Amino acid sequence: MRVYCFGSRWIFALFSFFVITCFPHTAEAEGINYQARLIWGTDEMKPEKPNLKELDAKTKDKLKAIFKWKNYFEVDSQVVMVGANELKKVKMSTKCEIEIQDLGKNGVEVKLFGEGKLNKKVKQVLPAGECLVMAGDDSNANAWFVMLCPTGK
Amino acid sequence: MLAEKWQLCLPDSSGRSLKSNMNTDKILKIQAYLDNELSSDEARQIATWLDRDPEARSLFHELRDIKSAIVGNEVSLAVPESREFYWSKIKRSIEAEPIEIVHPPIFARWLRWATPFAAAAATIALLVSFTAFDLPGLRLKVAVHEIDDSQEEDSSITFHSQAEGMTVVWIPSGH
Repeated sequence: MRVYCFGSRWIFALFSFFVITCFPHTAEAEGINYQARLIWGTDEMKPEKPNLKELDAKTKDKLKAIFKWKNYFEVDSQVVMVGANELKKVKMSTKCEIEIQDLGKNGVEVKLFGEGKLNKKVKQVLPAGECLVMAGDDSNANAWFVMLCPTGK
Repeated sequence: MLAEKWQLCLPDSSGRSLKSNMNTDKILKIQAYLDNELSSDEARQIATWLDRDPEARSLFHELRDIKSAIVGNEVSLAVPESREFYWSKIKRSIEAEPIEIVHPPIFARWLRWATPFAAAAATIALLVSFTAFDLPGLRLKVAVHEIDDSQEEDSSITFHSQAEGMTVVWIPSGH
């Protein structure tokens, strides 16, 4: 009886081991979800545009810790799942578009297009909790931000 | 029993050891014959042997005398209770004894469970050390970025904020 109990613990431990070690690879094969957001930064009050939303406080605080603008509004937000080695195009606005390509263990490659023209290409490893922000200034001392954050699998 | 005792201790009348001339099986046969434990055929064979062999006959007489001496002088011990009552007391005392379940110490039990998991964890740690770059949760170790410099006159600025967990690529207007 004792031998049986001891064996069952080992079997359970081995089962746990295989679940733990195999699950991440399975999840990785399923892809990673990214939240892509186009954000508008300004020192002015909220413009009278229906597509602008208040940015969540956490993200706003992060941006305010780095950038000088007082107010940030969300123009668009999309969650896109990118599979292994898959390339996804995300249209953020009429002028702005990004391409996200999974590079496996090398992270992700992000291409930023403005009015159909490639503006920037960035390769970045994005662990959970890290974000990639591609940003630039615009007219009237405002700014735009394309923020890409992995949200999980 | 008597035979064994006799074999070890008793010399014959001439003073020599009978053990030297008679093996244990024969001695035990004589003892069994004395105790009426043999079949009729065996008993006949032993009786014939005893008639022929004086040494065996001497042993038989010795054993018979010892047996009669023991039986005749055995102290009779009587239990002051009936047999059934005496054994029932023993039975009750056995049944009344508390069954002590011995639990191993907590640490020992914990160790028995922890050992397999520790082994599994050690194996995982070993594998992770080889495959860290393939595990999504461990990508922080290789969290480096690469900016495409293929475009000439790239005036973008890149920096990483550890506190905010952000890599910022700033692209100036007109770019």
